[in-house]
Amino acid sequence: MALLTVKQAGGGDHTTIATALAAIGTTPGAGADDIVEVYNGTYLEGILNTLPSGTSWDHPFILRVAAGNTATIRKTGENNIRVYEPTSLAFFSSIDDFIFDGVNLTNDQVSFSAADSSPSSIRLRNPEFINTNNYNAIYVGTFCDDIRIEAPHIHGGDFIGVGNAAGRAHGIYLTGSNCIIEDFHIHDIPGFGVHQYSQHFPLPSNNIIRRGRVHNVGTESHIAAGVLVDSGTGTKVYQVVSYDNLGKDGDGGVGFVIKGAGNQGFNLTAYGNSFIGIDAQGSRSALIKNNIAFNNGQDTDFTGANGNGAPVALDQSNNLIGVDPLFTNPGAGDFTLQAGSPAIDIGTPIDGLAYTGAAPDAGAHERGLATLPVIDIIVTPNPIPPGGSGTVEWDTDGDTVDIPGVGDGLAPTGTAPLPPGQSLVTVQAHNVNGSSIAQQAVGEFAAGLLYRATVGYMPRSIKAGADLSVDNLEIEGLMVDKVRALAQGLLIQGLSNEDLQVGRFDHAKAEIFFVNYENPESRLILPGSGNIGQMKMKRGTYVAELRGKTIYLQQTIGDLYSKLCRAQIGDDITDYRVSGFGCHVRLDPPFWRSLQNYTVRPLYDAAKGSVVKPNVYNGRQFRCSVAGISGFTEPNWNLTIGATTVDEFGGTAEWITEQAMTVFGSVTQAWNKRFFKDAARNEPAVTGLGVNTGTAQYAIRALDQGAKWFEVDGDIASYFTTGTTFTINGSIGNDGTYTTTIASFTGDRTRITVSESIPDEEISGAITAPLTIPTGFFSYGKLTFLTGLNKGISKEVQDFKLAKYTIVDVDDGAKLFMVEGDQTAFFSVGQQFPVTNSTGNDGSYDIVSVTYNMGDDVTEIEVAQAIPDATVDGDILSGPGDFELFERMPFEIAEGDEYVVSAGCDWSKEMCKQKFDNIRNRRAEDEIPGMDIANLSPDRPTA
Amino acid sequence: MKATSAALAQHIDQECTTLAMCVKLILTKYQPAILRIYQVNPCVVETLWAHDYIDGDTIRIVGVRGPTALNNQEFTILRLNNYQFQINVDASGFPAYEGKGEARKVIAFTQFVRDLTLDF
Repeated sequence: MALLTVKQAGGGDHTTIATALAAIGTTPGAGADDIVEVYNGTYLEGILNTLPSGTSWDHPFILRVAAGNTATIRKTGENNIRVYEPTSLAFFSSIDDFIFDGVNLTNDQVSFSAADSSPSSIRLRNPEFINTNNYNAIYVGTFCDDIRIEAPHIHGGDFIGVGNAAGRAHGIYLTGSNCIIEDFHIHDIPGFGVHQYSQHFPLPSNNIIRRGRVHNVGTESHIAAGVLVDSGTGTKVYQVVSYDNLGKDGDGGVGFVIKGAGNQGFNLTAYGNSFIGIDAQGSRSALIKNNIAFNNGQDTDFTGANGNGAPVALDQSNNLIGVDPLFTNPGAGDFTLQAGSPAIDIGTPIDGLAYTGAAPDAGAHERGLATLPVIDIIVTPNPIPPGGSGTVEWDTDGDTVDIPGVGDGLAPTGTAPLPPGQSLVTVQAHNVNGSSIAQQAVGEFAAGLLYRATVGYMPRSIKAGADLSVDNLEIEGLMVDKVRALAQGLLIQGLSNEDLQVGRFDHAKAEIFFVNYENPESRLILPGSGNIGQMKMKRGTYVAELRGKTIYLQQTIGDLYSKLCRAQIGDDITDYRVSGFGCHVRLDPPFWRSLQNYTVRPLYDAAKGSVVKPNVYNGRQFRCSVAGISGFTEPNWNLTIGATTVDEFGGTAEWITEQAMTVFGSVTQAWNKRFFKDAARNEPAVTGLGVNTGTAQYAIRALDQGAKWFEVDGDIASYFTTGTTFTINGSIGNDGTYTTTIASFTGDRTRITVSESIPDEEISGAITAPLTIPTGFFSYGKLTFLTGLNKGISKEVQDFKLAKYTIVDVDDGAKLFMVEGDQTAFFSVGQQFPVTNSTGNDGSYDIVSVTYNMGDDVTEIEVAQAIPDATVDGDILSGPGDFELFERMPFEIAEGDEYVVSAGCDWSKEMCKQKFDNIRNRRAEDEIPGMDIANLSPDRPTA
Repeated sequence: MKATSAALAQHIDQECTTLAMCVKLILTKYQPAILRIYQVNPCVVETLWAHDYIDGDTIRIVGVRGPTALNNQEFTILRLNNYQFQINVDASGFPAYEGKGEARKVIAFTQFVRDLTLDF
């Protein structure tokens, strides 16, 4: 161990910090147990990749200000401290008690990490940051891990960031993982206090932000938060007060933003923020508990759907919202609770947080706990792997602790290994006022797979042949119906009648083996494996038929010539030996990522080049049009289809906007298990596809002699305009020609009312009508419900139709189309829609504005493109979109059910070319002759 | 006819009667699609719809593009929330997830009179 002193005026080992650090060097671990102590002075030097390292937190390197001294680091140039080399090194270095002055800097005061480096295990203790004029006070980069920032005091400066604007940088910009920010005080800065956000992988996760005060931040930002956690997972924010944040205009201050999957905000106090106290809008499974939000512009926002259109599953409770919590003196920043506060004992226990009384208090300050010991514990790793061991790290303010299984009377701060098998670590600390307890649940991955002793399933027979016959095995009793199982106390976890009815067990892979239960390790002999085929009821129990692997040898596998494409849409099989190989259409492309090389997606071939989707769903995907590298940050996407987005922020790639092939939505009306509507769905079909050709027979499903109507399945109402005649054939007594009075779609069937009488009441025969060819964007696509009774179940879309709005007026000078009534709910600015059946205006248009003209009772749709023809005719296709599924969902579809649906393909050449631009991967032989041609005999030669 | 393994032959020769049949089912239909795989330790998996798994459930990951080392591996999970769970693997060095993965439920039964925990 070495102790080196730095005194500017001489008398120490060194006069500059740089020479002291150089004496130790940057060889990994060279600074273990070494200390460099700095004495009074302003040091016009920085620490730029010269930080020595220790070997563990028990043997760290420490750079600190000597007791009783004040030392300021004020470099001119980029950073006061920058650490990114050696890359991927765990430094175990601590920098303590300095003042960092950014008055002469052009970038972050302290910066950890560069684009692809990952320094970890660096600690800043008791730093003060002043005059942060450019970028952030502290920047923690994407790949950083275990950065510990203890008791920082950050205030003052311009924080000029992106766009050379003040307020675009932040007190602490956190994009690393497994970091701790605690006991912080951030105030009077133009940007956010703590800002955890990144679009780059790995996303910032599992950070702890606790015990802090943030106020009067965002003074140059229109909207600014005291603490923002908006990406990654597993970050916890607790015991933080965020107050009096007003924003630049006095109405944009937010106390906390807690978003992103699985992030947590608890025991927070939000007070006097001009916009929102706690904003969890759109959070997905975030936990918001034990908080106080009072006297904010809007105390909370817990509404909205997340970026994927998936449901909100916010876990929020035990909060005190909009009720005066009787703070002691909020005007002076004292947010402790007075006696009688409605926040007392309304909380729910949180792992690791001590409390007094019957239950924890809401808010950042537990009443009555101030004089009791405060304990911090960290268990690593958490969860502990099977058979592995963990350690507990604890820290109190000088109080001795007892840890069952570890020891009693332990030092106030320390680390110790945990005995195996612990599920709950308990740390108890004592002082003259009493004791307090903190607990941390320790998740543990279960070892191995649990084979449940079921009610005695009976493998009826195992037959395996060498003649490629099917290996058959019926497993009886494996699936017990729920009622019977409950009656016998034999409910099998994970199985239900619903699962069986839905078909979740169909085609399940099955592996069967023997085990010597006296010595389970000495298994295994495999008598059979394969797939579940049929599941049937027999003698009150389910019987599963197992199909052996050799069944595949009895099936025809291989390519045959065909007129229709043999590929499955969206597959990316490249093995020519597999039937149907190679569609390659990117139905669900990967997320855009930073600093990646992207290549041009060429014409005609979806197998090549790059297509990405945004990290926050916006209904679009983007095909690379100019090869290059992506930027540090995701670009601001141009959402107009066909427009170009340049990968800004340091990137060179360029992208063309396309309609997303996979979209999210929710049901706004459902008629039955096959038909439903989404009012927000308005993707038009690809122009030029789906010409209706030929005729088809539609079986009559119902009739009413008195009302004079017939009904047929599906929606073919558009073929029966008033006055249209049609024929009925094959009926018992109604064959003949009829004239349409009116036709309408009833949600399941088309009802055609006729002017002639219907002579026979028997339901028989068929109506001849044009052949319908589904052309909607999602026709033949796969639709999966994300919520509701049908969650996780997929069916194919038979047809997807948009509503048709007849154009009732055109103003070509003002570029207006007008449709009848108030249809503003179904048109939106930026939307593209097609016009069809017009004299001269067929084509695609972009909406500039939508207005309902009450006087004329029309909706005026202003478009960006010129309207070439003033003739008033034609139709506009727009939302709501109607879905018709090929098969019924097993359960009722309900309003509000969320779904995801992908574009479909009808295997035709036209669709492959026009919709997917993928003709080079078409797996069909369009020109082969049909059977009739193939069987023709040549004409007899003439003499 | 399948060949009897040496282990089984030895077992029978010793006239042991301690064999129990086990069945493991890996569901393949309507299983939760994977939306994201976080490059963290332990690995966090996020599904497109609520997965309904609980602590100790076993899943098999299939079809993943990107961190393909996870494919066809079975893991017991720790539930984080409705959409996320942890698996016992360090994914911090894995390539970024590029889609197409599924987290398939694995359930297992034994003919033995008591539950057995086996190494998958």
